[in-house]
Formats: sequence, C-alpha cells, structure tokens
Amino acid sequence: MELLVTNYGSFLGKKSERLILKENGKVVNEIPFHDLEQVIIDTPGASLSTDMIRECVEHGVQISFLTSTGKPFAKLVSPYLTGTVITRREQLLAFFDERGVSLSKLFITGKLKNQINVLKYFSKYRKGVDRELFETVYRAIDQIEQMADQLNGIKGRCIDDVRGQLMSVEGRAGNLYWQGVKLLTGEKVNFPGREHRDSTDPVNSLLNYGYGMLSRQVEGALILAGLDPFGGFLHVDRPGKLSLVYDFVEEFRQQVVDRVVVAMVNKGIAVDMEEGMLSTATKQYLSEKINERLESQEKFQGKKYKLRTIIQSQARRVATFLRGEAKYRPFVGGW
Amino acid sequence: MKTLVIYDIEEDKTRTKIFDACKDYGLTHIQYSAFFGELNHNRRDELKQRLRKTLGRKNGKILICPVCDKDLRLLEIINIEPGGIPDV
Repeated sequence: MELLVTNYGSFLGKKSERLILKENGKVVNEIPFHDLEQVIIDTPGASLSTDMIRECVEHGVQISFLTSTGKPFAKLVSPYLTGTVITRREQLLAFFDERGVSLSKLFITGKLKNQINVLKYFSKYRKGVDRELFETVYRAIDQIEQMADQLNGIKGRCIDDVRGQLMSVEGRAGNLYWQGVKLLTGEKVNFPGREHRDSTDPVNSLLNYGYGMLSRQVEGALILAGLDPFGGFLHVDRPGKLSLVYDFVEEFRQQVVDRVVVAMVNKGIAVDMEEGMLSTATKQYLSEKINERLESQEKFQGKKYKLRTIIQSQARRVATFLRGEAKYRPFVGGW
Repeated sequence: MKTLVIYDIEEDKTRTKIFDACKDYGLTHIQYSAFFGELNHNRRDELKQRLRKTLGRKNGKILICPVCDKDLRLLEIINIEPGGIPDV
C-alpha cells in the first residue's frame, strides 16, 4: 500500500505497529507498517515523528518528499542501504565490460516485446470491427519483432561501443509503436505523437505524469536491491541523472503506464487541463488507476504476481546478474 | 484467506492489547470484540502466537476462524442501531 499525504498540517505518527495519519488532531487513516510500501508527502507543513520514521526505515518503506510540481526533493532511507558494497562495486565495473552490454540489450528487448504486447492487447478486439486498422497495427508489430531480433546481432566489449546501435533500434521501434498507439486511440483524442518534456497536450501529459510515478516506484526498488540508481548503462552519466532508473524503467513503461493511459483515452474519460497542466482531479484519477495496475497480477516465471512485486524482484535480479550469480531475463507482460 | 477473530477478555488492559494487535494485522473492527480481514496462513499464525503471548495466563478466550469466499457469500447482516459500528 502506498500512502499519499496531501493535506496541509497532516501529522504522521506511530501507534503499536501501525502508522497513524492525523489531520487536525483527528486520526484519519491507520495502516499497519507490514502493508505499507511507500510514503509520499506531497504537501508543505506536514510533520513526522521519529519513531514513525524509524519503523518505516526498518520495514524498508521509503519516505519521499515532493515539491508542489511533483519533483522529489528529499527522501528518508536507512544509511545502511548503501552498505551493499559488492553489488555497487560490480554495478560500476559492469559499465566497462560485457555485462553492461547484455543488460542494456535485455532492457531494450524487454521494452520492444512489451511494446508488441501492448499493441496486441489493444488491437485484439479490433480484428472483427476494423480489419484495416488491425492489419496496419500488425504490420508495425511485425517490424518491431524484426528489430527485436536484430538486437541479438549487436555485439561489443563495452556499452560505449554499442550505445549508438542500441539507441537507434530503440528509437525506430519507438516511432512504430507510437504510430500504432496513435492509430489505436484514433479520433478519440488529438495525440500529436510522443513528446518527452513540457508537453501540453493531454495524452503526453498523462504519459509524463505516469512515468514520473513509475520512476519513483522503480527507483525505490533499485535502492532496496542495493543498487545505485545513478549508475546506468544505456543512459549516459550526468550529475543528478538517475541513469539506472531510466534504463530499468524501460521494460515496465508500456505495461504499467501506457496501458492505463490508452485505456483511459479509449474509454473517453475527460482529461482536464489547467494552464497546460493536468488538473488535480485528473492526476488523482490517473494515480489511482496506475496504483490499481501495480496491484494487478501478471504472469511471471510461471506464477502470478502483483506487478509491484515483479518490479521489486526484477531489481533484485539486476543485482544478482551484475554480481555474476545468475542470468537476467526481462519482464514481458501478457496481452 | 478472510479471517474472523472474536474474543472474550475480562481484563480491560489485556483487551486493549488484543484490540491493538488485531489492528496491527490490518483487520477491521466489525463488532465489539470482533475483527475481520484478509490474513494469509503465515500472518494468521503470527497473530495467533502474538495473541497467545498477550493473553498469557489471564482469563479469556480467543477464536481465530478462517472463512472461505464461498461461505462468505452467504453472510447476512442485520443492523438496526443508527450510527453504530459500520459494516464490513
């Protein structure tokens, strides 16, 4: 469970083994620490008690503080989470050898396969209704499939040798995928194609907000797995850039965010904008839907797990892979 | 599995502790001295041990009863008291 604190003057405390949320001195929510996964404080003027902080840290629950624009400005975690020296040392060394190459390739493979499955998911009911559209989307799917095969041929000794090639495949597949998404959302909404930053159209704003939520989730998972969220492979180093988060998030974007956003658009849910930004109501609706999606189950290694759990266990697998203990296989959601 | 926890405990202080333990396990207070909610096998066992320890040698009786979904569909509630404890 994720606790979002949005009201001015909220107080977070601890009672027995539960987190207590008080507003104006009255208890409004009680959550057992056992069921809690993340605390997000999205308001000025909230206060926390130290024993609540301690309990959160001991349960691996991160407390994130956001500015009014949704940017995280602080985070409370145990100082010993960075105590996973072997993992972090291997992670940084992997940048210079083949581990970085194979991990990046696997992330991109996962991304492409999920793009394919999301397109399949949204076109499966169109087969009988709109044959032409169905076939156009499937042509895109075939092309993305070919690109996924091309990835196998890319070889190099370190990530710097192959970054360009990988990015090129990723970019071309992305173009096809977003064209497919555009077709599938049809006339329901004006989707100009994917824009990354500061977009003012509804679909891109929804996607950007959703990716922000997902990135926080993924970042938490990586930190708990003992990895350094800044030490990426495919995304180059830059101070303050969470490169590993951006690398690792690729295999989850489509299944978690895109699916929710496309479904929202197709259902014809009104997306209100205020001065080029999503309205509070829309944000709340979207975050509710994304949390529902994270709680929903997907097949993973022969069993069904919540997507949230899959993200965490994939983060641990990245760590074991980097330590050279096991293979890594990207998560591919169903359709 | 959904679990029903009901108890009769003489001493107020112990009863409060049992009450708190149930809430710590995420159960909902459905009646005086009755809690209900989702617990898996392990959590149910943990709760049992905690309740046993809390009760110690004092007088009281606690029932922890798992309920399957099929039976739960037959649940009937008769509630007349206005402003009483909310339903499940």
